[in-house]
Amino acid sequence: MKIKTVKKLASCLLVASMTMGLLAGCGSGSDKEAKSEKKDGGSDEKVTISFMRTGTPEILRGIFEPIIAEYEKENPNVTIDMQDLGWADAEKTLQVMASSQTLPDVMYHLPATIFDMADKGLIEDLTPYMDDELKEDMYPALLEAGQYDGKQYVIPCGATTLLLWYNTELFEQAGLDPDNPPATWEEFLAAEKAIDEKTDAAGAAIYAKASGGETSFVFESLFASEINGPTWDGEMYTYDKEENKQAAINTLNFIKDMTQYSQGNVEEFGRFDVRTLLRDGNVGMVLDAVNIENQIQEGLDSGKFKVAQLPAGASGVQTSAVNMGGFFIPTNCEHKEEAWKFLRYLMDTDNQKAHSAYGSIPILQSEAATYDESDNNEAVIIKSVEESVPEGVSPKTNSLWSVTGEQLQLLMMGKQDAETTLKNITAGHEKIYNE
Amino acid sequence: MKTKRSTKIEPYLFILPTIILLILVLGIPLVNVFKFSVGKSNIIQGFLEWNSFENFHYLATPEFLKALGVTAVYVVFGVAGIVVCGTLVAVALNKPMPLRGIFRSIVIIPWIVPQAFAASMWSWVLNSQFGFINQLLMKLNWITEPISFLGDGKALGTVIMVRIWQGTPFMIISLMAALQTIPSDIEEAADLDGASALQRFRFITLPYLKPVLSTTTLIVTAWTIQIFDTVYIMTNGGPAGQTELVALEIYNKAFRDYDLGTACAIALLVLLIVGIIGFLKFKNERQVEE
Repeated sequence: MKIKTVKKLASCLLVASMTMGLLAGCGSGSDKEAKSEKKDGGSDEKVTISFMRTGTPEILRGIFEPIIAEYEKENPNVTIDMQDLGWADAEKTLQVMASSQTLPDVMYHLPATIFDMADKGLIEDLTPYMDDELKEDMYPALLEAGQYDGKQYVIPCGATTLLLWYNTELFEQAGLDPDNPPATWEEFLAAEKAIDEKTDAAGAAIYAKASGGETSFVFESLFASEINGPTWDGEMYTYDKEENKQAAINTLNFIKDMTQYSQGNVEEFGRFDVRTLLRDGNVGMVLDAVNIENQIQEGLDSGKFKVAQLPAGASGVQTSAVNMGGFFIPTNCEHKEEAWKFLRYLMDTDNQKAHSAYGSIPILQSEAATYDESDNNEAVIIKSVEESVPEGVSPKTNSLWSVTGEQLQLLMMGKQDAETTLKNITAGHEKIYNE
Repeated sequence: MKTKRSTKIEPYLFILPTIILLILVLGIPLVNVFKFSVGKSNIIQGFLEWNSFENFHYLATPEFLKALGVTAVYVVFGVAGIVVCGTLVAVALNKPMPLRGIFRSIVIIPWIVPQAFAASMWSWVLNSQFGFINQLLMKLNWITEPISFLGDGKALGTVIMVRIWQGTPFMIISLMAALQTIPSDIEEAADLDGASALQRFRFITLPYLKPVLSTTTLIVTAWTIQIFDTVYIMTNGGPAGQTELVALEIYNKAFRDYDLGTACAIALLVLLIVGIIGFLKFKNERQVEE
């Protein structure tokens, strides 16, 4: 009897301890690791700044670890805790971190998400922190691209314009001059036709896989060149306006015409997929971002591939929208001054140049000045930044892009004409603007 | 001495950890889904304000009804394919044959391959320009033009095929376990009576498999309704919304449009559908038992 009672008591205790353990395990974690500590109770505060750059950790660590080491050497009271985040999980992770107020002190991401978080009061306005030197050194279109509601929430540090990348060997085979790439839409279509007819390759690679952002960027860039003006007025896309209807239709018609001599099944290809087509000589040209360099570097070095500015629309100006990502500081950061100091250090010319090697156009004019002027490809890239306009981005961008992307896909698949495409884009956007 | 009260409390005390665990992992998220669905909500700020069931209006839009239709086709053909292929392979692998152990190991590979990896792999294998299958078919002169497996009109069929490839191993494993329970003397007796293979399958094997088959079909159906990664990577809902599944709609609403409320409203509908399927299944089982 006694043994039974003891057993029962023991099992009850076990159950009680398991329950307590379970509850304790699910505690709120209020004993969050302190981010700063006083050293020997003295005044030199030891500070840890968490830093996250979205992207491929293996490459990014190689870029940032030497910069961080140098910074820590110059600032012995500061420790930089670099954290990794791949693009695949970025959007979800970022939103979850924002909801739990655990965003790193300095982080890189894309403006649409940052502006949405800024709307919710989670992002620090960096306008008061910015010095004139940085403002004047940054290309105006990029500086503007980091602003929302008149405030500088993002410091651009990774960006691209849309450029024309082409295969010089296929150009020669088609009887085209590789030193005079197409500079207008008409010339582009003619070159595309010549390559398609006179070589085994398709004229150009077109991507229409459902994703929104990629094709919207193409449309926006081409439209900017058609009107030689901004594509976003702070509240809406300028191609949604009645006065720009014809220009938008012209742009959409050009996009549709490009598919005539492109590789087949455009809806199967995303921007990254078509890079393989260019690299392997299956297409003569592609309109793509600057980070295509990583895939075709060997060919660029040998002269097999070259880059040119985006062909011009009716305006005759070879402009493009500029797409960017950048650093921001969340309001939950406990050491804003220290975080800014580190961010500003990252924006120093040499550090930014090292960062741009990950796949970006130059962000700073001082950075561009270090480029090799005799290298035609680099000169083209710099010119494209100088003549670019900011891409239209707001907290609603992802939804707007998805509408545009879906409609552009239908257009490029030949399922609807330019007029219907524009009508559907405008109607879809109208709904989102009014939400 | 054991009192009446302790006898009453004791069982509850023992199941207390499980109840707490269930509340934490199931109850709280479920209550949250319901709460978010009836108001303006987003991932970052959670529930903001009551909006008079406005989120549920989306469930009646042509956009969502199209996704629901696509999902229905995906689930019906995907599950049917898994059941048929799983049953055939399980029955085949139940027969004594050389290297049976190796074959049994090979067939579960699709199940253990991560979905994201499988999706990327199939995207490349099926690619119309440089995909292995198209190149093979062209070399064999079976086709003159590459087939656009992920293109217009074919993408849904392709993602269903990939779902069947992924889901069949689970069915095979479950059915092979059930096949072991069939007494060999019954099969031998049927054999002696001159029953054909088809008759043996229909009147002996199938009745034995039925309970496992109905349960696994239910599980596979619930899983198929929730498939996201594979289709997201292979087609992202395209072309022209032809593979836009309900799971993709939930993701897009929550993370692209920052509209957690509508995402939760869709999730509740999915929960309801899975619940109804489960209820019908258990009701059917009870009738069979009675």
